[in-house]
Amino acid sequence: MIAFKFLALGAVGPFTGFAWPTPTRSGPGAWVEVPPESVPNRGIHACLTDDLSFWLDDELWIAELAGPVQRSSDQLISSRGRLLQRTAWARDVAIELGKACTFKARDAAARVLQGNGRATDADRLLSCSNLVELKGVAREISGPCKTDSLANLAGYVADAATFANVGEVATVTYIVAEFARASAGATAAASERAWQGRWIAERLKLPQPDARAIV
Amino acid sequence: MSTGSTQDLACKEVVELVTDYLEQALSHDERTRFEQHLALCGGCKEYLREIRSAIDLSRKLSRGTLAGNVRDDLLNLFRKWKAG
Amino acid sequence: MAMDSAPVESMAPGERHSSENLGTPRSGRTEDLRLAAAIQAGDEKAFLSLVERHHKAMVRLAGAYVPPGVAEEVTQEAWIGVLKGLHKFEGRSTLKAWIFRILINCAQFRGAREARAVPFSALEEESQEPAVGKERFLEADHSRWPGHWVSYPQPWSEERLLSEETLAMVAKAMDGLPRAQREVMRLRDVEGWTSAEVCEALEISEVNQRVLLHRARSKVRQAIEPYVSGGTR
Repeated sequence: MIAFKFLALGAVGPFTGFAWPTPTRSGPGAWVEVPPESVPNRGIHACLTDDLSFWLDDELWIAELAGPVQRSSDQLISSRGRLLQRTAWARDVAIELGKACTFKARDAAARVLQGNGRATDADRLLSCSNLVELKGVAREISGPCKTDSLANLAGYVADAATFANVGEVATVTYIVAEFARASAGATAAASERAWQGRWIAERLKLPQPDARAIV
Repeated sequence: MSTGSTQDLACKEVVELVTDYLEQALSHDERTRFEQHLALCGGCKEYLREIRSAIDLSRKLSRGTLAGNVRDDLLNLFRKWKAG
Repeated sequence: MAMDSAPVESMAPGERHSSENLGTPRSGRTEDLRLAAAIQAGDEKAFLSLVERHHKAMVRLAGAYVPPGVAEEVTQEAWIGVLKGLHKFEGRSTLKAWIFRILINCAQFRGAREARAVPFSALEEESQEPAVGKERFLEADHSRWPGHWVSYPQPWSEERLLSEETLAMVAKAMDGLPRAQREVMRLRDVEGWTSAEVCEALEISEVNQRVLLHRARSKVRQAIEPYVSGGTR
């Protein structure tokens, strides 16, 4: 099946340092495999759309998995895979994602504040047009108070803006997912992750993996 | 389905697991959680890089060949033993 | 054209930094026995090759048991012991492990006389220091990120990493480690021994060895961080 694979610069596995064979003019990259019985302890890892934001890295590739494909902890594992094509994922796209996540969280926080009689704070957040501004305003609203859960929501927004501003986008995706969890529970966090994945897929016009192949 | 926050490792725990990770002493589940954390946390990713750098630097401390006089001493030692 | 699908193992994490010897035990033993036989037959080159391989590590390890001035002497005593006992070596352990057992016995014996020897297994690590100072992490009652970095460690400067000063700093940091931690890190990271070899030589458990290695590496990293931190990648 087709799936996605994030790799470090140079098509290198971020944890193993393994240099993946890349596609050439003649065709896809060479197959890479492990003994089937070593799965899932060792294996070829890849992502569905929903998983993408968990594994952000320098390069995003479209990959093909062969053999039985298992699902595990926000990823796919199989015994055999190869790289088909590199996508247009790059640092500037990542930065866009970071901003999109942050401002979406900002909007959600503003709605909650609005609904809880904190219209001024909500408006202040909504009036921010860039990350630095948002970081400052949200940090102010969050203040030092630890017991105010509404202020805490502003804190998440401030944190997201802080990390988005320095380009730590993976952290941003985590922060806003935790923000969703804090506001509305585990399902909301999962929805946030799915939204992030869809954002990437639409932005890069990625193909849709066929999940039926997963055992 | 996305992992719940109860399973998430905090950075303070991650830095204590780095050696186990490099030694391949983590269970499959622990390793997955460790790697998931790293994928999301630039700070811990950097920390692991730093530990690896420290190891790489240590490797360079391995001195090369024996000093000449030591080599001579040991050769003499050997010849004496040979002579019985 | 599809590339051939010869099986290629994906590496396990950390593998690019392990220097595990992947030779089969059997071929290793054969080589050990061959070398032992050659030395017994009086082959100087064979003896020197063995000496080149191990002498420096032996002196370093001896230094854990006896004062530095005595370590060289103890190691030479050990070589005499090796030569005298070589006819008894049967290849049941590796030649390296066998040699280091002799070395440690000599060093411990001498060390006991110099009132310095404490077996590694008896060493109680008093400090339960964390790998990173706890002030670097958010407090446990933080409302959003308990235990996360207060601020991310900054990338290390490539230039400074390559400098002689940094290397000297690493050496100094290792010298300053508590004995057990120093020896484990020396053998594993400087000398490239496998963890099995270290456990066998020092007579400590796998877990114990890992704890010592962890503390040692954490401390060395901490020691050099102020000097190499803050550069651009």
